[in-house]
Amino acid sequence: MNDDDIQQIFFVECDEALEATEAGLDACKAGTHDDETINAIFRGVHSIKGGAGAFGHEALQAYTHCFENLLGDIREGKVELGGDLVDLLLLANDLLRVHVEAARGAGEAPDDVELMKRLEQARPGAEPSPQAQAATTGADAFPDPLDDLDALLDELAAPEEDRSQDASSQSAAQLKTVAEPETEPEPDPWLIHIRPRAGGMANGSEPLLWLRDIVALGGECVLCDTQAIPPIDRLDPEQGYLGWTYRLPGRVERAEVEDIFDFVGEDCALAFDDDPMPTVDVPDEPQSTPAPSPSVASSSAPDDATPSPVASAPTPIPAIPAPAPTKTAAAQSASTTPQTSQSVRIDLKKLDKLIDGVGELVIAQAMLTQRLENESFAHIEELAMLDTLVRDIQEHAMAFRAQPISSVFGRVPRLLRELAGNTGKHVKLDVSGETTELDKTVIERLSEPMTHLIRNAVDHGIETPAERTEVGKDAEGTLTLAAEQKAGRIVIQISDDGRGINREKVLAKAIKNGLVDADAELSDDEVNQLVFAPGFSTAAQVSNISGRGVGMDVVKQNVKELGGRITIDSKPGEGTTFTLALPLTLAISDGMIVQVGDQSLVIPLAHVIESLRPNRDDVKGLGTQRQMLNVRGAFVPVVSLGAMTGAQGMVSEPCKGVLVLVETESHGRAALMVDAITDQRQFVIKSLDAHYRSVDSVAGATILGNGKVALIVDVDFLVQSSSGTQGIAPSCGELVDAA
Amino acid sequence: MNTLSLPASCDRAATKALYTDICEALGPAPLAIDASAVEKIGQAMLQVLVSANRSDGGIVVTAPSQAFCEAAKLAGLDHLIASEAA
Repeated sequence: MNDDDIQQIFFVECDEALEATEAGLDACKAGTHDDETINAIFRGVHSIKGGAGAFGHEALQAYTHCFENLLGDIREGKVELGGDLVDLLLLANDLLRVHVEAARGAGEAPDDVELMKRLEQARPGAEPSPQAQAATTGADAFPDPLDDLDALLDELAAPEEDRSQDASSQSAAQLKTVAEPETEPEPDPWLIHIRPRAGGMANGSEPLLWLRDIVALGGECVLCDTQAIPPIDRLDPEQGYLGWTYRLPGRVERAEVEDIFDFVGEDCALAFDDDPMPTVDVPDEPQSTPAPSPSVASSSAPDDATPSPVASAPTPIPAIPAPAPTKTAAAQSASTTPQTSQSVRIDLKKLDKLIDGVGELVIAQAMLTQRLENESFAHIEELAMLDTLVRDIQEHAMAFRAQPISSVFGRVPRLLRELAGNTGKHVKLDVSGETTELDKTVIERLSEPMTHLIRNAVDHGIETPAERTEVGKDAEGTLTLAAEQKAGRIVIQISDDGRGINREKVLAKAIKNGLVDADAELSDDEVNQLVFAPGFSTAAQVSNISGRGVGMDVVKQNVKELGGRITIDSKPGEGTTFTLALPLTLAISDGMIVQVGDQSLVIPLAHVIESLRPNRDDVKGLGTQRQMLNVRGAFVPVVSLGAMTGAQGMVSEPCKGVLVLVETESHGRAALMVDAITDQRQFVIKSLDAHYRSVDSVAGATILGNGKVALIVDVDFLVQSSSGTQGIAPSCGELVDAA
Repeated sequence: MNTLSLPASCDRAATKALYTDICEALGPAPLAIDASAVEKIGQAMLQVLVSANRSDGGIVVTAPSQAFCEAAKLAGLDHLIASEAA
């Protein structure tokens, strides 16, 4: 693992921390927070700060430091958390996200000057920080935390005779820079001994960055322990051999210095004051010399082979306060190991390879089953055992990729705040089912269509406060997000309580744009669906939020690419609900393999309710072409899969074949007519778009046990097509030929 | 006097790559280390230089860049720079 890999982990942790802070601040906004909520927000920002320092992202570190200061005051009860302050913290969190993205390399670091100033001003009686002061002068967009360090380094770089002056005067000079009231006695300085773990550099640790942070706090290097460095021919350049003793001014709290090492974990051991320097843990390197005690006397030795003093004549340290109990970072880590070792990060590429492998395993198992069936070994116990094991592995592998949808829902409050700023419409958010889990890829690709839908709901759906008040609604609109697992699919609903779709306006626009004929008679649902037509927009003016007529088209395409469907339910004056039905996973599913003429097709099992062979009396004609099946008193349309495939020799009468009763999201039930059911098993979904092209009535393809390609039926589209005015996609016969 | 130039980025990977060259270049006479191009340097390279300085001939750091000087002082190893004058 190289430094970049480690930094990527930091960015992943940043995302997690940002989600936690966002969720915490939302709880504060809703008034449902407690002390632990504030602690969690503080920890999130603090951990980003620690990593930013470790990886040298100075702008991010400076900003998080300022943000954290205010959060610390809130945590300690110095500042009361009111509505305005929560709004400020939410803004600060939004900017923190932009900062993290900039550190990640996505764009320039944001202008945080004004916000940092506001954060400082929100602190009780706080002097403006150096950063905020820089902000007020406008000298630098990003205060350089190395500024102070530069000054110290200049001081250190001064001629030897200047440097050899009494260290106490140096200390006094440093104290002047922090503007401590002269009347208060200066607390005694104290020592910290820092021993990076020998193998820590392999984890990306760079001790000099920690030292830089210590210097920024006013720390001064007293001793560099070089004794553990072996002769050059026995040195391992990837092992760390150095240790340091730094002296810190008494005004600096120990916790401030320990904070620097929060992110370091086990890669460094610390000791304080007159405790001995922690020993080196270089493997196979005998500790011939005991690690030196960081006594000041030992540091005066000028020999290169001994600890290197920074000041040639170190000043005796004033009476050291009674030593506090020693607690090293390593010891802290050791005590928490059992709690922190419960999870492991895995590169997504490795996980994808596992999923691919499981997919191939499923295909191989199907082939083996087919082969054994041909040899009359279809019912052997080992085959059933293999089937169970493969299914278990597949389910566990899929569970690795499952993530709660809260990671998508969690970004919505920020989006609503942005939209409120742009439109003046303040919208309440009501969320349910955020723990519903679905595939990581689906989650990632869901973000864009959901953003479009939410922008659209706020921009077009929800009225302005004045309009809402006029019609007797709450001036603040409500956006509802709901997710649930239903019939093997994930159903996500995005609802607003706005004005609803103006169907007359939509139809008029569609006719004007030539999307439908002027004399067309469309149902309400068909009119609603027109908003998904390419280039359709009813917005009188194109805004920067929505209204370009591309968003809704993209939404439908994105959802379709995910193997999902989108439907609209809108009531004038009451609001609009968009319902997205998505597959649980994109890779493997259960299906019923049916025979239609000379073709095998797969019907996803999630849609199947039952299958039956009807009596002649159960099927009634409707007009000249359509037939209805009487299922225990309810009539459902019969849809011939043969018509879709153009297969040869399929049955044409329902009572001679098998009817598979299916349920759809928005068009109720239907009976799919097939010749026979041949199998029911897991199948691996292969994208048709990637290998051929998108076809409306086909959800994908798979490889059967006999090695042949079978098409996966898009049940929703087929039933919708058969119930509406459209015919069944004529291109599928061609597709079967191609397959 | 043998001379070896340090690259702009003296991180762990660069140290690993240069380590053998440094070992081979060391001899009875001081090895000149040209640190003028150094923009970034970490613990790994500094400790290699400390170890090299203890060899028979030692090293002399020549024309150290500001980044080199700052890092050496931060680490309390500014005697490496002082060796320039030696």
